Amino acid sequence: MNPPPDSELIDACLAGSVEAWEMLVRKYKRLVFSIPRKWRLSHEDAMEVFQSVWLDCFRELHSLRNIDRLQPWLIRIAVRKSHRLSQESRSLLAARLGTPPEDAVLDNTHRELIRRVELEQLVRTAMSQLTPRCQEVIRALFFEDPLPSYAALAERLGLSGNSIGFTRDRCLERLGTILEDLGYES
Amino acid sequence: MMEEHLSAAQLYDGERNGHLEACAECGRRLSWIRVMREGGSDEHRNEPPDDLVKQVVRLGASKMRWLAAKIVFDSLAPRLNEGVRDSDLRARHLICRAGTLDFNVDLQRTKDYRFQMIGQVTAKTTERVDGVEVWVQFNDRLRTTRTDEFGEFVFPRLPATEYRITILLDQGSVMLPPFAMPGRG
Repeated sequence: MNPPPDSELIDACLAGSVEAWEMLVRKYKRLVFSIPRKWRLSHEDAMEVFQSVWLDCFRELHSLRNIDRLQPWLIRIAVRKSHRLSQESRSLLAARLGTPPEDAVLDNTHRELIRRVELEQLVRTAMSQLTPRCQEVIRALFFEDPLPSYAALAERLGLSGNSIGFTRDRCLERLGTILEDLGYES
Repeated sequence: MMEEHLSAAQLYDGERNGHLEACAECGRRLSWIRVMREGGSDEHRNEPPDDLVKQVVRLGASKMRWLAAKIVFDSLAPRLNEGVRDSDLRARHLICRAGTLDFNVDLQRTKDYRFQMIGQVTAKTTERVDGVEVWVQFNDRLRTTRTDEFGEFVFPRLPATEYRITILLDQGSVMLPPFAMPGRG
């Protein structure tokens, strides 16, 4: 089932729905947290960025209701905060070592990180539109380390060992269709 | 038809051959696999701690009530005597009010040209003011703490800048008006 669009969730938040706010947070929690992690900030700093971005979001909900997409806004704010923290850390380190601080402007590496963040969210969104069984199959195939054996996966899903291949192909086909519907071009 | 192309397993295991070069359908499916591999491989690192998520969800507690406090006292509000300019502020005291709650905030400059913020949440009714979360944002940074048994909280070593205080109460989050402490950062 497709989750409600962001604009509906924001409207519901503004109408006082605690559930809608929680849905928004849970939908984008990994996206927001992944940005300071990709900027190689410490766990504590990543937690700080996460809280700060959501506080800004909560504060700005009224103005966000009219924007088409919340995702780029969240990325922009999280990147800005992560970048600033990263710069502070570099300056402190440089001062301690007595060396000039490195230039920390947004460069191609950072742009590649942003592309990666967007790709990850695309995958999450696509996954959320699969059936629970397909989600489990795809998760096992791509996200689990070590990869579970076919027998273990079949047992977990309550399937016969022979049907795993068929189920996997069908789920992958469905996933591909969703990815393309979401704008992914192969 | 699926049977006419390489299976997902063959693609997944990286078994590439001449068929793949010529077959658009296989190439399409391979690109899904690649995007899943790239987009999902870091997912275990992207999961924020559950307690952190719950904290953020609590911002919207109590039907998303967002109380805006008003300043009822500001030590910088009185006008200075004519000809007197104070560009080197050492302290600022504010009292804000939202409903039955008062928020005292005291900023004092320390020796290293930073500021210590001491605050207190007080209630005219029986509302609990101990163990309340207090967040302060400044320069894209965020510090968090909790009030003690007297409703007091402290943020040491803050730069001279603009602060935004948010207090997460059971009855809703309270936002104090932003206020600044000019001077050397």
